[in-house]
Amino acid sequence: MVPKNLNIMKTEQLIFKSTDNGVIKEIKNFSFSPDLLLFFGSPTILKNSGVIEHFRKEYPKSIINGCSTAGEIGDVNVYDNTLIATAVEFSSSTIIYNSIHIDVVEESRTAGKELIQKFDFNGLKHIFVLSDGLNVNGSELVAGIREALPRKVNVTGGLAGDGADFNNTYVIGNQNLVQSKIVTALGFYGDNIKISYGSLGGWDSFGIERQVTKAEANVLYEIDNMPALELYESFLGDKAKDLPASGLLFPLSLRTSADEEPVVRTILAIDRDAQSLTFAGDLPEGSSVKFMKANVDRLIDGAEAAANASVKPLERKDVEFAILISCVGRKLVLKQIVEEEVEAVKDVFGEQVTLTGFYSYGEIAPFLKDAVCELHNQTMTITTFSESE
Amino acid sequence: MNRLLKRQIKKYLPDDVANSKDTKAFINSVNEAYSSFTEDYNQLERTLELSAKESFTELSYFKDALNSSAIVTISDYNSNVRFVNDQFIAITGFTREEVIGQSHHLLNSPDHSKDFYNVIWKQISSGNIWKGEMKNLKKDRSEYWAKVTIVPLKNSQGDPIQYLTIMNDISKEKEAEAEIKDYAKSLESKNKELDQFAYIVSHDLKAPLRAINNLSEWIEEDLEDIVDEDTKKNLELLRGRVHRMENLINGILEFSRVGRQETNNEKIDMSKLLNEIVDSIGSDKIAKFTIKDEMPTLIAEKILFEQIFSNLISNAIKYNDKDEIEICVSYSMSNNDKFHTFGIKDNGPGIEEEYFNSIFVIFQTLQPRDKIESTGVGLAIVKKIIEDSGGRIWVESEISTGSTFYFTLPV
Repeated sequence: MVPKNLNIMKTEQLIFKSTDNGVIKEIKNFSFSPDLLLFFGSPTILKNSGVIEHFRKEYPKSIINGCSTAGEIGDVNVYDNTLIATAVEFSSSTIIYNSIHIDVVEESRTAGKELIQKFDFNGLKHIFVLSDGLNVNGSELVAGIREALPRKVNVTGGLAGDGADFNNTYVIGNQNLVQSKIVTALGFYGDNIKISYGSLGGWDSFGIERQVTKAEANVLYEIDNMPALELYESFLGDKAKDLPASGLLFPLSLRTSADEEPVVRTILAIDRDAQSLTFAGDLPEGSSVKFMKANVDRLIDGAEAAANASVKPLERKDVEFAILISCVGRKLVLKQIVEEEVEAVKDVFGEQVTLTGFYSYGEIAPFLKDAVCELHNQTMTITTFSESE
Repeated sequence: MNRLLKRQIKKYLPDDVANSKDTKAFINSVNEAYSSFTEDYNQLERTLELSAKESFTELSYFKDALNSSAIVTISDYNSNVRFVNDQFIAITGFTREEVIGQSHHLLNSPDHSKDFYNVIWKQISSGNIWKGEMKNLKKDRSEYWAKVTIVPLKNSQGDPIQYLTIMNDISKEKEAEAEIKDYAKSLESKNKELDQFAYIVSHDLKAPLRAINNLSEWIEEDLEDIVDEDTKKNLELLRGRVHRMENLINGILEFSRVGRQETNNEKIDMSKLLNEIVDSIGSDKIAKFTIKDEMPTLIAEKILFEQIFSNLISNAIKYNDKDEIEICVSYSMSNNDKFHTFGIKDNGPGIEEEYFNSIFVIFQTLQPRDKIESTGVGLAIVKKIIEDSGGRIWVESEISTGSTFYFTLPV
């Protein structure tokens, strides 16, 4: 791809396709030395290709970040089993990298808090977070982030994915590269950088309202005093054997009190012995849940609406770079036409924008502009970047 | 391969085209789309079916609950009955065949006017819920009272198409209500009679009493010369008893008048009123009269306050055993400023706790009437006035030190 010299910010994207075991035959370099190198790829390719290690050596001054995915986004294409590398050079903005290790899932909240506290808040514009997708309690992580975050700074980001397998997820650290059990954060500083975001789903709740009668943190045992797994199996029919992936077709709309905005929760894992389901966020006992469903048109409309919500109409042509984090559940519904939702986003911003991103196990963003950030599921969450002179 | 797709290929694609590598790849991809569409369709169908079943079950719980707690009917936009539940059958004695398809007017009571039903129809036919009480007919033309809610069930345009009527039989409550009303009415008239009786009795008793008094005076005059000291004393005692009896009768009269007097509210400066009362009773008898707190200015019936204070203050004087009589009046607001509280404190002999209640009962005196002339009506009147106004009176006392009478009146 030709580097974009017209804009103040420089971006370039490379796509590496691998053999089945993740081997890359030929590694190309970028045409400039980037400030930031973002990688999104399948777990196997991250582990086995050696591409990231190569770039670490090649560009010792660049900040390297990224994660494993349930699908990679490069421009308007959605790939599986590839590695998308996006190089970004800012004209005047600074990026600071921090990370934190999480040993046990119970540390999620304090980890979120401590990670944010590592930053100098003076001049901080935005934080972009990537987290392990399976060994972290996403809603606790976000709660910790919220505790430490200064009011005027917003956070977006997502949880790493592993196809529809839910086995191993990785985050790419700046020095130690591909690892599990870490959360990374990029802090953006500078007077000329403008970072915005939009996050929307397109799912609708249906059917009767049920109550969570037995749950521990993000592990759900019983709904209306019946095994939760049984309920899922009855709705999935033949597809029950594909759990947990097929469970993504029925996310839960969860409300802890009647006057609260409902959040969406999706399945990450199941335990047939315990008849339990593990979700990407907490489900407090006593809260009300409803099944949700979506059709392809509504999901694509949702992605477009997220793009529209992220940037004011007149400023859309200034967006030079955008990171799209879309939920794996959307990919399972959209299937062959998954690229439609990425195209819908590109149509809003125009040809000048460079798109990258991934299909995730959870998205982090505020509901509305300047609201506190939340953990979402099933959304298209867009973070946009532009720089002015 | 998807059957429909296979058919279309056979029909429209020549073999050489169908077998080319690119077409095959294309067809495979289309086939995948077909099968995933079928899968989605089946999933959707399954979801809808399960979800509809669940919704239906949930709805039937509500329906069962409603049917077991109330009389329910549904009528159409022409007021023809379409559904009645078991409770309706049990209460009215109709069979389903007798009411279904009939006009709901069949159940209307002749006791309600046409206008009554018109108002209801106007409200529900414009899409609003009506709530109220009405009489309805049973099959045997007897009636029952019902608390009724009529809910218009609307079509997608918002126009009522059916009317759901939920009724609760309140005949028993209505009967009880009527009984209470009758009882209250008869009680009221009995009370009136009693008042009248007390008034007439005391009036009529006073006439012969005066005659006795006069007669005794005449006898004394007539027998002036021959009367000895004993007889003279007896005649004086006779007149004394006559006076006491007159006082008692006056007491009854006054007691029966409380609540019958129609007086007007006026602005009362309480501290001015208290000084007036003390002056009229005889300020010379009191060594020290103090008003402890700042007295309020109230809008009330002046005569009632006069009766209360003059009774309490004159009692404080009458029963006092000290050489220097001291009386102190206090005032405060109590119960979140809902009540005025007055206190009248004396330095008298005090009252034993066992008498704290009986002193307020009519004709009860703590000491023999020969010792201190008293009718035993005063405190009873005070209590009646206060309680009629929604207040309360009580006494706190310490033997040989004195008593304080407190009373409250609502603001």
